[in-house]
Amino acid sequence: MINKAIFEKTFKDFFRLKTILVYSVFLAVPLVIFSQIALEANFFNVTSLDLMVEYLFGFFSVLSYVWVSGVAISLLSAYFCSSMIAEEVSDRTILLLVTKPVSRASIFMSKFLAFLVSILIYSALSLFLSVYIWASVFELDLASLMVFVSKIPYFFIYSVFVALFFGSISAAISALSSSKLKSIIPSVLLVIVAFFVFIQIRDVSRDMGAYEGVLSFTDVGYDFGNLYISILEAGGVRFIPLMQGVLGTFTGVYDVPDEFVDVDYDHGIIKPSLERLKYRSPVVSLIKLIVLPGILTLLGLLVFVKRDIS
Amino acid sequence: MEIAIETTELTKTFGLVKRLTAVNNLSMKIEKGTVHGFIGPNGAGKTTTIKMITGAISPTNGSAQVFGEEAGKNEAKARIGYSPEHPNFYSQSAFDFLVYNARICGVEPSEAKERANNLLDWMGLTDFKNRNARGFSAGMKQKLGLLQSLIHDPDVLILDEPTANLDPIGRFDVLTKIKDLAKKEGKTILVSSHILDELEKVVDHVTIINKGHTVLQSDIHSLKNKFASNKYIVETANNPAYLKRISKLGPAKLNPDGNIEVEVKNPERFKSAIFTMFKNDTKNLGGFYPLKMSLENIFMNVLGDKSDLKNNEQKTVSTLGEKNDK
Repeated sequence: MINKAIFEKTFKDFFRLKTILVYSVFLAVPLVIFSQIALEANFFNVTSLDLMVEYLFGFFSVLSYVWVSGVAISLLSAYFCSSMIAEEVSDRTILLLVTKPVSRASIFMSKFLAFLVSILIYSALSLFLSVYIWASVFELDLASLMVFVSKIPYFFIYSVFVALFFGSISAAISALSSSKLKSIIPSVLLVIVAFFVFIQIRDVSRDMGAYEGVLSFTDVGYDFGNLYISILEAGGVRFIPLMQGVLGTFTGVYDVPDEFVDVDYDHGIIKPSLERLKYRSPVVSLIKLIVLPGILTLLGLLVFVKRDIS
Repeated sequence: MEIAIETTELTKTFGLVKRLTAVNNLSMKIEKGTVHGFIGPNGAGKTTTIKMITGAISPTNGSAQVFGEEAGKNEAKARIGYSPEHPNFYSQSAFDFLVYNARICGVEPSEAKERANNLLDWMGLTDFKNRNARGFSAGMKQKLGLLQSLIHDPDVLILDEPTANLDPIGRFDVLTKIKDLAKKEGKTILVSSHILDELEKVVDHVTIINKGHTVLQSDIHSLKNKFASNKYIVETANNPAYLKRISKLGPAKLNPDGNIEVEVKNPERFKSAIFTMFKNDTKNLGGFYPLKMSLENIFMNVLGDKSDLKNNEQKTVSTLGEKNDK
């Protein structure tokens, strides 16, 4: 089913030096900028070292959800998968490929597997690079650094679901399209909607009572957040209410009060945990994030198998 | 004789709303070991047919088979090498491209490299083996396209306009190689080309298609005999003026060269009639001789009235094409 030559070529194409460099810069620049701003504003300068690490880890978790394992990986997945078929069609290299004695299903699956392996490597490296940047900027000691490193597998699991979701969407569109640009645009729009647009409309629609139902189901950002927080909790992470509030703003998973989260810095008193909003159980979100990509990948495969290559 | 490629009522219709039938009930047989010319005017359906045989597009109706295997299946594709009219390449060296294509077909890496080197040497591209194929000239791309079709040593080669972008020397070289592949290696070759005088030098069978279906299929020898046996060319001092008189001897027309082409039933009686006609007017008779039919002549005769190829000035009294069609 997997054609080794196609797998290897696709894999190599994903690891071109230019791609690695552009992606690294794309990933690192927002991290560096945010961490520098936070550093200069003494954002994490609290009385206790433990609390500072707690804050740093919490904000890194938010950055990981939104950027490192979120937007960056989803855009990279969309970029890779949009090139799977559409680029071959627009470059007209597809004609020679489909006339070789290899089934179209094998071509598609070989390329998709190369994407999966590549994105796993990119995800892992992205997390290590991000932790390195974060630790360097805030000059973390080894013990504090290990707090971050020990949680990388949990961030990684989340990024796999993100990659699978956006990769399968791009792959399905790529199988239909004759232009890489046309196949990447819907995925990019979906990334923006999932990670940014719903931040704006979630609370408003909830207040209006319009969130539950269709809008809730289409809120993939909630599913990602639901899964993300559950994975981290399974890894022993307990967010302080302030971080729950920030995460809740981005994911919609916590019921964030209007006055935000009140923390008594003078006495180190942390208010009780915020209420977890259960529009869907984490298991349902997990199933959704497995079944949807599965259906989309299968759809892309079927379209490509039946497609006329003119 | 074993059949290498067979299409049966092969049909392809494009479009959901505005339906366009590119290939319409096309049936043909290509014998193993032959070089088969596949010709027709632009839009006749040649490339669509080829793409159905190679599995790039699926038929709407009918079937195509390669050595008895359904076209598009891996078993069929394994026996085909296909070189498209405008081959396109990845951004990689010619050598890497050939090795990649061989490996897709299941050839082991060491064997793939050896084959790539041999083929590049055979085509005279060794000096360019490490150059990016995307930067090749159109002619070199055409040659590389031909090489990739041979990389898995297929039994059948399907070549769509293999000499389209080549200079005269390159065309001669490629045509000689095509001939060698058939004669020395026993490969079956289906070659589509618009350059009929060149095609004529290599093909031993020909299929002419028009508007998506087969108009004629024959071996080239029989075809030439069939078309040449009863035609004469008459050159006079004023061909248009003599056309009407000569038409009385048989169906006649002005050919593209401006001479009179006449179909005769009895050559001896025709010769005698011509001598009689010009007995007192010999200076106006340039000459008359049997028409040597080229593939292009045959093509024009067969399709002259059915395609847009015909010059409007060719006022046909009667054509062999019509006769043949009936």
